[in-house]
Amino acid sequence: MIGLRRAALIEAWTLILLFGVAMPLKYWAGVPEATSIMGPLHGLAFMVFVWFVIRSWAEGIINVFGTLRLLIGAFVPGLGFINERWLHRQSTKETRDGV
Amino acid sequence: MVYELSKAAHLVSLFVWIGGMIAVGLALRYPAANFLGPLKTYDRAVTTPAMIAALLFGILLGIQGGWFTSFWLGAKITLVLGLAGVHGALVGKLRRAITEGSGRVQNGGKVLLPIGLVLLTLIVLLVTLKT
Repeated sequence: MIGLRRAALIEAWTLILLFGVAMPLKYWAGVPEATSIMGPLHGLAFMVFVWFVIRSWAEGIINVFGTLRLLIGAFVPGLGFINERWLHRQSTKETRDGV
Repeated sequence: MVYELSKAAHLVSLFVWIGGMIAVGLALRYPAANFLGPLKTYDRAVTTPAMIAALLFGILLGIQGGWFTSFWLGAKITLVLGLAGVHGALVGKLRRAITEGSGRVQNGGKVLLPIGLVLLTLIVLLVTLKT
């Protein structure tokens, strides 16, 4: 689950940087290069994250609800951090229960 | 020159990625007791990094060619996301088969490889025709 959590964090950070830094720079400061760099970077992070989510679902680490939650969360800035904490709690719970 | 090198790296990464996916698909369909573990190691060390490299060099090619506003590239990226999903599902099933310790045939090998082949065909058509 550690790979999925890391991918969730990286995806969440790149989305925040894209919406919070690169897009304001493009539309308010006239620096279009910012989105040209952050856009592809976030695209790569998003694709790797989706790969991790589907792998974890196929492996049985997360259920359909968890899969949908993570995928929907990838489109909303900030939600990725909440989902990462949720994954952390799931992983702690599994360790405690000896799963 | 940078464009040609990126293209070569993209294609090599893609071949290694697809080759690794086919190996996992076949291993799930015809499981051999001592093969699944080494295949998981191979996937982690070679196939998955090759997938990430193929995505990275693909993005570099898109930037260099200025194609990110083209319809065909948007469609291709969607299909590539599907192909990455197929790979993720195959690896997930492989890891599950190892954890469960069962040598039984996993459905993934039967269904996912043909889906991957269809996606790959559409991707190659889009990148060749660029329409």
